[in-house]
Amino acid sequence: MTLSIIVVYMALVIGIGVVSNRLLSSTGEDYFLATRSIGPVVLLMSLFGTNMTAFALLGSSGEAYHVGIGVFGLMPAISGLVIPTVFFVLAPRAWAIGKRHGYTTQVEFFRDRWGSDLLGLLLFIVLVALVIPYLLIGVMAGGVTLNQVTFGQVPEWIGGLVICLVVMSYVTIGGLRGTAWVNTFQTIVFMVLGAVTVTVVFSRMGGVGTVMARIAEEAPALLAREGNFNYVRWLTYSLIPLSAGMFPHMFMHWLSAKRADSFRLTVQAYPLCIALVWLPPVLLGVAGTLDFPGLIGGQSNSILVRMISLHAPGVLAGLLGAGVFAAVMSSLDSQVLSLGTMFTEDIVDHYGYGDSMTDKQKVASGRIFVAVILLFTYGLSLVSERSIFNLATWSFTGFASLFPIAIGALFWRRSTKIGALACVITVVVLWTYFFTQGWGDRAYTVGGTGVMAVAVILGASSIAMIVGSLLSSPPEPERVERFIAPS
Amino acid sequence: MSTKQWLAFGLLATMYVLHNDWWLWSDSELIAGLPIGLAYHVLYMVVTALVLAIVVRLAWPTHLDSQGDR
Repeated sequence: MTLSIIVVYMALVIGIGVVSNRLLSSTGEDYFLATRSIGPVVLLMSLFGTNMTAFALLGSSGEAYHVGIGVFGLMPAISGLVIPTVFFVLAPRAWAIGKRHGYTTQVEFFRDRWGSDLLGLLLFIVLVALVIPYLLIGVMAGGVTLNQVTFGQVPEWIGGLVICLVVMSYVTIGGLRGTAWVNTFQTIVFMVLGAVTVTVVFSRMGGVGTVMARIAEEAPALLAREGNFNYVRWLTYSLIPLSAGMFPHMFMHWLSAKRADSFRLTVQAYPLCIALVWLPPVLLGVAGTLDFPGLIGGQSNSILVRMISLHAPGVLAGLLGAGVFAAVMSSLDSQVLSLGTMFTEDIVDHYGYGDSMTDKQKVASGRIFVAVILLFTYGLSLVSERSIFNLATWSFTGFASLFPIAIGALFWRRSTKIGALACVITVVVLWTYFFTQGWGDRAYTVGGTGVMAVAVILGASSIAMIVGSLLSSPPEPERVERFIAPS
Repeated sequence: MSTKQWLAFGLLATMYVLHNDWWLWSDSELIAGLPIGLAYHVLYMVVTALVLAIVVRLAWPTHLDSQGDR
């Protein structure tokens, strides 16, 4: 039964991709950006669905299992403020410039802003490298979910493989329009199923109050932050959601909006959507310590699915499996599409490799690139035992540290390509250093001080951007005015 | 920046400060069945949505739609 529900769900998702394909015009702008026609509701759902992934469902429940309810304040509460603020500040402006000059990708946008091919190439490599751990958590989540809801009958490697194949299928068929539609559908699915799941499971456990009272007796530390969170870490963690300003897949969705005003709904509704999605997994993760004590490290990734399988097997477990798959695929699809688009536009087309190719061959080259990246990620998922929360945090650290690029491009007329290059190189060097330092440590902070690596890297990359710009020649005014209107 | 934009910025900065509820850091008391720290942040997110609705009304960059069409 459980497996049948998941199979039906997968078929439904591919079906939506096929239907949207019938509405697809033959232009590249429609495939990549849905002809910049996405209205407020689908924009909210597709941006939110793209942003919420295995990190929100399995990662948060796994982390709450270890450190308690503070996870909700640490990540979703501050994301509910920072991410919509980032959208408010950046998205409508990027949309207006993108529409006026016909930009399709983030790399193209920044390359043109500072007139530097080197910057474009470097950004392409860095963005692809940072998306890989983000893809990895989705593929890992697919494996864990299918394995747990079938009580181990389906090995983890099959779940990851299924996720990769289904996503490749509907992205290939439906382009960004298909991805936006599927994301809207999937976002509704995982929001509704999350609420239903937590209601059913807690009612079978005697109610939220009863469960929390039991935890207060057996593991009271999980209900407070003292001892589980360092206050400096808490403060510096608030920089992580700035990553939403530099995700290539989010940027691509920004460009797909119909109007700048379409972002208003997203900015206002985002905190409520985040609360609705994150609260059930955090509650279930904490409650999971009662039923499944003693899980170590990455084993807690599966606590949400274990809880459902224990308290609500059968139909609900199948629906939950579909919900987790929905959350995972609604991010993977956009990431895959943005990677393929960047490869086609910023490498094949920009460097002239595509001069002798037909449009179909160019798009096919992007798909081959994506297939190679997915294959590589899938291979990593077979050997990785990492915490989903931890992997995502490192990926987000890199993106958040590139944030000065977005601010410089849209607001600082004096910023130069030397400044932007210095910023990216600083991020590459420091991120690599801290990543290798913190690889074995789940709660790594710089020198054990509580300061998250993101604070140091972002500080350094901001300084590099400012100093590099001020020490180099001012940019040509005509180029600047294409991006920033004269005051 | 206009007065409305400063006001919007001030509201967002206030929300950032309110996120850091150090006074509940070690409190595990249950309120309506939820730990107080969790209940605080659920309420915080509802208030954040209201504040963002005000910010959008105060300081939305209305000129951008026409810029995109140029």
